[in-house]
Amino acid sequence: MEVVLDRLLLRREEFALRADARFGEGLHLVSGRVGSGKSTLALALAGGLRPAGGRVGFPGVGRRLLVQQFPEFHLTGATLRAEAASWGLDPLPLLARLGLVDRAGDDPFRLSRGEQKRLVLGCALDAAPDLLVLDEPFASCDLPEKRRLGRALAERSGVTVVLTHEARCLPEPDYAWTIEQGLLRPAPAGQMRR
Amino acid sequence: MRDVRLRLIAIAALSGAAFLSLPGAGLACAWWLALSRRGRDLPAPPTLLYLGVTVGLAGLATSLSGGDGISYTARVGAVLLVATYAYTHRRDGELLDLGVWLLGRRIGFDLGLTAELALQTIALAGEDLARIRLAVAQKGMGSRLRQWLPVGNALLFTELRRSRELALLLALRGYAGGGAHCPRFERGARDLPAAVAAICILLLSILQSRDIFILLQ
Repeated sequence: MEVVLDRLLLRREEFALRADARFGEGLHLVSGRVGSGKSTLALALAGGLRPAGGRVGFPGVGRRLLVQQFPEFHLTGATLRAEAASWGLDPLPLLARLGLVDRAGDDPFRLSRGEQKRLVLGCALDAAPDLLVLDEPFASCDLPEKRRLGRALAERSGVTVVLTHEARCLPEPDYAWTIEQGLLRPAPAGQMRR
Repeated sequence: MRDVRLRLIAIAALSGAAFLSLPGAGLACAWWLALSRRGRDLPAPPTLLYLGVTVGLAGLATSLSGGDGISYTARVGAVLLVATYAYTHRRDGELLDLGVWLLGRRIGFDLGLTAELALQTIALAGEDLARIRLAVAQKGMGSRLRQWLPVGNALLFTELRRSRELALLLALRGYAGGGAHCPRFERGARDLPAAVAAICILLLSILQSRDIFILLQ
């Protein structure tokens, strides 16, 4: 399974991003400065943005999930239990693992943003999609949560694309990419994170 | 049109002209054709469809109740066309400029800031809505009708949180009402002729419309 960006051109008003790449199985890190187009690329990778040119292909990829930077976009359940169930998951074991089981009956919008992020990331990882795209997954997370997420990503199979400029807690990626001047390209050796 | 003062005068005049009479609506459309960027000034196709259906249904109801539904549809359609011009030609900060210029640094500043925040929220809410719908679609939650409640709920909470954060930010920066702001306006070569043309269209529409004279009697 892989994601194919075939002479892809993405446009948002005056901004343009070009990409010609293949994302195979493994952990991919896409870095770039704030405003470089990471979130735009994330949307396209999840099929949520129509390209202005080229195409995005998903040969062999079944379920695909994008976890966006702001967790409130994902919250649809009236309680934490209903929220976990809306991802097709068994709620109580998941909430217990996330340390949220005592709040299973609470409205997800009553959680802090950090807790919401923990909930959404936990649900997405447990859903085990073939393609998981994480846009700034460490934003709003505390250090233990960042480490937990790093460990979970290291154990995941399928295609995982992490778009972030904060990758200190990320395991060593299989592939590193960078976005510079509106172009996605492999990161030069030595210009990795850390 | 770059000068917000002249643009708003033109928009108000054209809206009045379009609503008052069919010739006024026709002239307002001609004004739009002469000064707009055509397709780029129109809203996205789904929004256009929604507006068209809404106005069409209202026109149909007018016809069924004995009124002139075709005239109503054409006139309100022209008003909406002018409104899309006003929305797509706006620039960040210009309503704050206008408020302070018109009503001073106290009430004018507050009204201008409120208008700026409202427009900013409309634009951001559109982006948020698209992202929420993508997130909901990923969960496979069925038809759009079934998605309506969770999407609306998430959008409401997102906007409330953003409003709270914005209010806190304003308070932290010492905002307590009013503010110092020096309005600046730029004027394009076509601004004044376009505004004068819009006022002429309004006057023609008033003279042509018999209904207003009946109402005045």
